[in-house]
Amino acid sequence: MTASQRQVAHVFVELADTLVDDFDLLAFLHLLATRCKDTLEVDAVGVLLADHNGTLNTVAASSERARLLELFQLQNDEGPCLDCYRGAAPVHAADLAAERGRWPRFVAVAEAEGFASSHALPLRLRDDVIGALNIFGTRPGRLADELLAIGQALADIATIGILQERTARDRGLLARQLQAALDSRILIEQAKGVLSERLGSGVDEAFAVLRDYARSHNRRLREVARAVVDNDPGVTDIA
Amino acid sequence: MVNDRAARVWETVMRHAEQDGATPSLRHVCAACAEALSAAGVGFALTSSVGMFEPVSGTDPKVDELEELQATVGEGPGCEALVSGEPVLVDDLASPGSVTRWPVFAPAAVDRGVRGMFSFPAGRGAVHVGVLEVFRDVTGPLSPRDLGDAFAYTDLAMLLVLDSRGGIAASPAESTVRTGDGEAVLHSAEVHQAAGMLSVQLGIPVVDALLRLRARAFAQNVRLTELARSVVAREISFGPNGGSVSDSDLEGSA
Repeated sequence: MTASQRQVAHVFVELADTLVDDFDLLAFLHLLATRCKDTLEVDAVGVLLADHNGTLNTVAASSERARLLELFQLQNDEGPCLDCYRGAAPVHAADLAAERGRWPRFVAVAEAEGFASSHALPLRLRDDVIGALNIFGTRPGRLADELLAIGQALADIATIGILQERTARDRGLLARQLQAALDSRILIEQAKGVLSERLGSGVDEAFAVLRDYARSHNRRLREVARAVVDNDPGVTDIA
Repeated sequence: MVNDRAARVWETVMRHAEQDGATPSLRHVCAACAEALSAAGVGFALTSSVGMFEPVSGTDPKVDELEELQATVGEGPGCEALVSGEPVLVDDLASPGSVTRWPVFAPAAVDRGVRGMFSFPAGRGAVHVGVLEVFRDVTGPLSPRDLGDAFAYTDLAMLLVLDSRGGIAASPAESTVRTGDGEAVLHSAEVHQAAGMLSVQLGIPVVDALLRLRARAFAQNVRLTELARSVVAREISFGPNGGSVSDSDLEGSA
């Protein structure tokens, strides 16, 4: 096993270890996005899920930078994620500069953020696509096939995580599951706002505080976010 | 992106409102939802604070009775959905599990011929305005399509409640429900971050902060996402000493 193979194996073991009973889905997806970014040696990764309306929403990202979140969201109009979701197939934009005609707004914002390439891999569940893993690089170039295979495996693990949270075998439960994940994400956005105002910090820093607190107190991100928003005396030590 | 389901669902609500010669309201959401899902009835109960359950619209007297019963005895799928913030989907109210869970409510509902009941909290994150409830006279789960539609009707109900609480009239021509502002309330990270920030600045719950944000965007005719972005960037603040912005925002937009 080479060093990098060992590293990849370690990532999969780490993620599998997280999938225990009563795990924290949002913390899991955040970890997955971060590990995906490091393993694939790319610059940003996001996990997007489609809701009951087919709208793509970000549930986790390797960075909470506001402009990056915006770039994910923008793809409800155009971009690799939308094409990946609609076409139920990977989309590779090795050189964003060559895609200005295809996605004019998306490419403009991506380039302004310093990105030069983007890939979108489907989150597949049998015949359905429930979202996409979105990858950004600051240099042009298509990811090597073996890296794309790892990326797709990570996308599959993300799907397993979503299904696992409360065994969503049928599509009805899946719809509920997706809704719950998206709702948790909005709660976290509200908590980021509350915390950033209290700390006088940026919203991305507020997320780090939230995540570290949840981690060190062994609590779910959603729970901590709820307590922050409710001004629960139990979490006054957070800020 | 205008997606098919949201557009289709809004059309059905508009049709019911037009037949009624009125602007779209919760009543029309319930009626349209009952029709789309072939349900025995659909009701909506408002929540003003945690635990409050206030029935407002039902498609038939049976629904109103059952909503009232939940409010009175403080138990039932709707109460549970409000507290947990998650949908409560009950395939059979006569099952032993349902009776154990809701000893007063479940038998009363079965007596009135209701067998399936599906309660959907209307809200996002900490922002919760009520619960939409679908009553069926048959047992069994909702189909995936019906479930998706129920989520979409619930979203619409939330936006209409926010409109009415924020003093924004949902006139068909300029309803915020089918515009970018409605979409932003449902999906935008920045809008919810801004609501969180404002709730601290003003010392009010996040739901009220969201109302203030929407009211101001509406009054000043700016996009909600743009206003939210300025708040997050700390270019404007709503605090007691927050410059030109004052407590009269809400009234100003009514």
